[in-house]
Amino acid sequence: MKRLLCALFLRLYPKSFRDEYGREWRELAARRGFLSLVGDTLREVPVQWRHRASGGQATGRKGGGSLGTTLQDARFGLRTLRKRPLFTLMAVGTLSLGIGSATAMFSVVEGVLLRGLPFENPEELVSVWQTYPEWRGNPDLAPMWDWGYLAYPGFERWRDGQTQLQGVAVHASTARNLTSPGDVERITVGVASASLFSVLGVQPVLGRGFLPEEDQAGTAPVAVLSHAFWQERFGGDEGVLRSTIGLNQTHFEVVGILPRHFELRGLGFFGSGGAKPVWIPTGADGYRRAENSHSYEAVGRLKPGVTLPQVAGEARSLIPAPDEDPGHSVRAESWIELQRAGLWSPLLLLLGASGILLLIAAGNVATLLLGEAAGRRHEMATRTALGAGRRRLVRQLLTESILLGMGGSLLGIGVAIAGTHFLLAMAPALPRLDQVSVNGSVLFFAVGLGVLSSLVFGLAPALHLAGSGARQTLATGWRSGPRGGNSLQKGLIAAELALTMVLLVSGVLVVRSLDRLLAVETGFQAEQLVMARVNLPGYRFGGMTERALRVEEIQETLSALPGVTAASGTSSLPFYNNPNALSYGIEGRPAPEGTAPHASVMDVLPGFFETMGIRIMEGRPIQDSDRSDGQPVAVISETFARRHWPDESPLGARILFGDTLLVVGVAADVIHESLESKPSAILYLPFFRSAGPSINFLVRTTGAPEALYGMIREAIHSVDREIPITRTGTVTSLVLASARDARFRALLLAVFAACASLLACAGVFGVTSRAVAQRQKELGVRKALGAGAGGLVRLSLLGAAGPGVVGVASGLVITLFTSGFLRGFLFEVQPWDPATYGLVAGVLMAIVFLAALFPARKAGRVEPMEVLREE
Amino acid sequence: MPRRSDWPHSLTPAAFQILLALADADRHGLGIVEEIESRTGGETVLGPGSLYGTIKRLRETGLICEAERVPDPSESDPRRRYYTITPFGREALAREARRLEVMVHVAKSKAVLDQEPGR
Repeated sequence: MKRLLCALFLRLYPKSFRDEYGREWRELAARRGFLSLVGDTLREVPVQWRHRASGGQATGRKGGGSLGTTLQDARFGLRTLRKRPLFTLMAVGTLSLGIGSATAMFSVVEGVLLRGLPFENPEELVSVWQTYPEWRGNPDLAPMWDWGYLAYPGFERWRDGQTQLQGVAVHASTARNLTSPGDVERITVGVASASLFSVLGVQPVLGRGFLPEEDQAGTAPVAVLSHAFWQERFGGDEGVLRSTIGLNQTHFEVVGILPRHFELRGLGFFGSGGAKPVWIPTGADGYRRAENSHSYEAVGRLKPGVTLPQVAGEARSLIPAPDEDPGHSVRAESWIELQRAGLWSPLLLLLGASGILLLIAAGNVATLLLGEAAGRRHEMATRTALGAGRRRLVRQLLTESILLGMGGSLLGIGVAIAGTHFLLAMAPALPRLDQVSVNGSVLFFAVGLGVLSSLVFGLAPALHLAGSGARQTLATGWRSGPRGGNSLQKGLIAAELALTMVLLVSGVLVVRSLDRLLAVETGFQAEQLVMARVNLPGYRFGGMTERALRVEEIQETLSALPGVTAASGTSSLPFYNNPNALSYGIEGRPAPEGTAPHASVMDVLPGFFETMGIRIMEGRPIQDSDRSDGQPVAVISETFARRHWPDESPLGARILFGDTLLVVGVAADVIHESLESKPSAILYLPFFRSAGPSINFLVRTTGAPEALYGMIREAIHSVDREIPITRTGTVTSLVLASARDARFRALLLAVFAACASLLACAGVFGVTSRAVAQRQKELGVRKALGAGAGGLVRLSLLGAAGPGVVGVASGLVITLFTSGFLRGFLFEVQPWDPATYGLVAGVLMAIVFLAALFPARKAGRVEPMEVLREE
Repeated sequence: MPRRSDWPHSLTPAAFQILLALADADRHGLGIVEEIESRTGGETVLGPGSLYGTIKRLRETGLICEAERVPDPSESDPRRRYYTITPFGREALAREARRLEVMVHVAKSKAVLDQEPGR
C-alpha cells in the first residue's frame, strides 16, 4: 500500500527530477509517515514544476507548464463549483456517503485481515491436529473428527523426534481462580510449552518467557502475563515482575509480560476472562500432562522447503494413536489461515456491498454532471469557438470532477471515522478488532476512492460535453442540443437501479433470515431468567459431598429471594457452555464395535426443567429424591428418545453410562449451541451424583432480571465469600448473542440498501425533473395543440419508466447470479426466494414512479403561452 | 561555474541544514537526513521532496556537488551518491551563519532571550 502511494506521489514530480533522484527519494519516503509525505509533496512538487517552467532546465518540450495548467484548471473549477452551491453540495454529499461507508468497511478489513499478524513470518507456522477418520460415520462426533488436540506425552515424542520443523510448541486454554491479589475471580489461563513464544516469534516486552526446565513437572510455579491483564490488574506497573499472583491458591511468580497485540484464537473458549489470559508453563498443569488428556493445540515453524504433507507424515509416525482409535492420523494446516478462518467471507460480503453503494453514488453524481452539462453546452461551445481544444476541455471538466471527488473524500473521511466507531460498537467479537483505526492506509484508500470514482463518474460526461458540436449548439441555441446526454443519463439511472436491486434483495434476504433465526423455538423460556456461573474449587471445598451441600445451600438461598419463582442449576447452559458428548449404551441392545452412540450429558439440579420452562413430555423430571444413594435415574430429550424408541415409551428402559440408569422422564428438545443448530440428544442426570466444580445457577423472576444481579451475588457470597462468580446475565442476552453476527450483517446490509434506495430515488427525481425542464417547449406545443394535462404527465412518467424497467430487469438478472454468495449467511431462506425478488422489484418500481411523479406533474401544468413567449 | 550574483541572499532553512550537515563530512542523502535529525534531536525532519529538491537546487547553484570518492567502501548500497560542500557553499554557509549570529546578537540586545521560554 505504502509503496503504491510513494509511486503515485513520485509521479507528481517532473520527469527530470524523477530520473535523477527517484530511487533515493523512494528510500527516504519509505521512512516517512503518510501525512508528512503529503505535506512534503504539496510543498515541493509546485516548486519543482515552477523551477522547471522558469527554465531551470530548458527542455524545449511542449506543455512545460502542465502543472501551471492544472493549477489554473483547479482554480477555475473551484470557481465554477462555488457558483453552483446546490449542485456541489449534492455531489459531494452523495460521494461522501459512498466513500465513507466503503472506507469504514475497509478500515475493519484492514485491521482484522490485511495488517500483518504480530508474529514473526507467520506464513512459516503450521498447525497440527490429530484426526480420527472413523468418527466421520458418527453424527455426534463427525464435526470434530479432524480437530483432535494432542496429548502432552505425544507432543514430547514429536518434539524430540521431528526433523522438519525449526521448533514445535503446544498451548491450551483453561480457567483458574485468581485468588490473589484482590477478590477471588475466575480468569482464563493459557498453558504453554516453553517453546511457544519463541516458535511464534514473540518477545516478552518485560522479563522473560518460559524456560525449557519449566516444562518439567514440579518446578517452581511461574507465570507470564498478557499485556491487557498486566494493564488491567497492575496498571502497567513494572514492579510486578518477581511478585506473585495466586491461582487456585498456588503462588505463581510473575516472570514476564507479553506484547500488547499478542492474541491467539482459541483462547477464551472457557468464556471467563476474554482474551486477557495469564500464561503458565505446561509443568505447572498436572492434569494436562496425562497420557489420555488430549487438550493441546500444536503449532510449529517450518524449515525452508518443507511441505505440510511432510510435516503431517512425520508427526503421524511419531505421535502414538490413542488405544481406542487405532485408525488415527495427523494433519497439518497453515496456521495463519486458521487464525483468519471464517473471517474473510463475511467481511468481504460487507465490503462488496459498500463498494456497490459507492458505485451507485458515483452513478448518481454522473447523472448530476450530465444534467449540468445541458446547461453548460453553450459555455463549452463558446470556449471551443474561441480556440480551446477538445483535450483541454475534457481536462478542465475532469479537474472539476476530481475536485468533487476530493471534496467527497474529505467529507467521506469524516463519515468513515464516525462509521468505524459505529462498526466497532456493533461488530461481533473479531480478533484484532482493537487494532482497527482510520490510519494512513485507510486515509489513502479514501483519497484513492475519491480520485478513482471521480474519473469513473466524470469521464463520460466530460467526453460527452466536450464532444458536442460547437457550431450546431451555437446555431440552434442551448436548449435543444443533441439528445445523447439524455440516453446516457437514462443508462446511468438504469445501472443505478440494477445495483440498488442487488443491495435491496441482499438486505431483504438477510433481514428475513434474521427474522427466522430470532423466531426459532429454543425449547425453553429465556425471558425473565437470570444465570450466574460459579466455581467451587477443590482446594477449598474438598470432595463431592461438601460441594453438593454448598450447592444445595445456594439453591435454597436463591429460591428465597424476593420476586424469585424458581431457582435451579445446571452444569452446562444452552447458548453458554456446551455439554460434553459422551458415549453410552442401551441395556439389551449392544452396539457394533466403534459405533457407540454419543449424547450431550448435563448434570442438573432438582427444579431445572421447571425453572428453564422445558416441558416434560412423559414421566417425571429430576427430583430432590434423586440422590447418590438411591436408584440412578436419567431424563432424556425427545431426540434421544426417538433415536432408540421411535414407536414405544422409553420409560423404564435402562441406559449404560457408568452405572445403569433408569429412564424416568422425557423432556422436550432444546437447542443448545446456537439458533442455527439442531436439537441434540441430551442425557440429563442428577447433579448431586457427580457434583462437578462448576455450575450455572438459574433464577426465574417476576421482576426486572437486572435488578437481581446484586442480590444473587450477595446470596452466593452469604454461603461462602470466596466462591468466584464468573458471570451473571440474562439468558435472553445469551440467546441474542448467538444471533449477533447475523444481526450485524442484517443491520449493515439494510443500511446500505436504504442508502442505495435513497440515492436511486434522488437520481430518478433529478433526471426526470431535468427531462421535464428540457422538454418545456415541446410540452407547451403539445398542450397548445390540445394535449390534456393527464397525457403530458403520463408522457413524462413514461420517460422515467423506461430506465426503471430496464434497471429492475437487469437487476433481477445480476442478483440471480450474485445472491448465491449469500447462501452461507442465510437461515431457512433461499437466496433465490421468488417472494423477495417480487417484493423488491415492486418496491423499486414504486420508488421510480413516486420519484418521477412530482416532476412529471409539473409537466401537466406547463403554460403554452409562457413557453412560446420565452422563445 | 556559477557566478556570485546567482547566490541566494539568504538560505532556506532546509538548505542551511543540508550545508551544515555537509560542513564536516561528505554524506549521501539519507546520511544528511540522519545527521540533521540527530543534531536537532528530531526537531527538524526533512521529507524526501524537500531533501532532494533542495539538493537539486544547491547543486544547480554550485553550493554542493557530487563527491568524487566514496568515503566508506563497506557501504551497503554502492549506488548511493555522496555530496560534498564546495568552497562557494562553505562561503554561503558562513555568510548565513554570520547573518544569523547578527540577528541573535540583536535579539540579545533587545533582551528577547532573557524572557523565560513559554512566556
